[in-house]
Amino acid sequence: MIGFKRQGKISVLLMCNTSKNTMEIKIDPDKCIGCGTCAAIAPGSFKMNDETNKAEVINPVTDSEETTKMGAESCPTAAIVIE
Amino acid sequence: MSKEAKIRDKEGKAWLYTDVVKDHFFNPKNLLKHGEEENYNADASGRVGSPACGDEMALWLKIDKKSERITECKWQTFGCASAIASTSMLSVMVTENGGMKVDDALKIKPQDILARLGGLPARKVHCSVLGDQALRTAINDWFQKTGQNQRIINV
Repeated sequence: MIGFKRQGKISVLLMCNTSKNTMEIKIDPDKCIGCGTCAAIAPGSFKMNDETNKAEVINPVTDSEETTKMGAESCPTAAIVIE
Repeated sequence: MSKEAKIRDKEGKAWLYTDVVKDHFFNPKNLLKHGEEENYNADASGRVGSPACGDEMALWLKIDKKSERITECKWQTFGCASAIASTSMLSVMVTENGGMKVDDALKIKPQDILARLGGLPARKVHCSVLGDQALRTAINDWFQKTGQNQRIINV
């Protein structure tokens, strides 16, 4: 089950895997500076929006959980939070 | 997946970049010396900047048109230790063993460079992406100069 919800300006992607793991990926557009590192590290999780030059979550995510987390952790401004 | 390296030990004293990172930082490979860029007869070049830290990377390629192998890869940067070490390693990776074909060079992921370096701290990974982006920009430049616009990729 995959769904989107909006909390103010922060886009949130909810993912439910077949396992019990649920990851919630949040990108804060005010923090994102558009460097593209997340999309380079985890191209199945994040992409750059050509108009806003901000990172977005890809729906559905096709990377492994480990790759998604690495992409999030590589953000130089810590704009991506996984819960 | 490469193991993350820590910048400091628990006491905050040691400098824990890997030995490979340190070697490529102190002895960068394939660096184009300042002033040599004007006479360097490159087949293609790319220049990118990082909005994250103001770093800038310029990269030059010599490519054998027949075999499409990268025979030389030179670079310059206004960048940090991680950017220098990562791009130095990348330049070795694309030119070793007779040179990488451009299609194979485009398949290099930041994780491949990190693995060869023995890892970087997570907050320094964005610096390692700069060289990769410059390489892709340079290969696109080569596609354009050789009339192969259909092969141009997203950087």
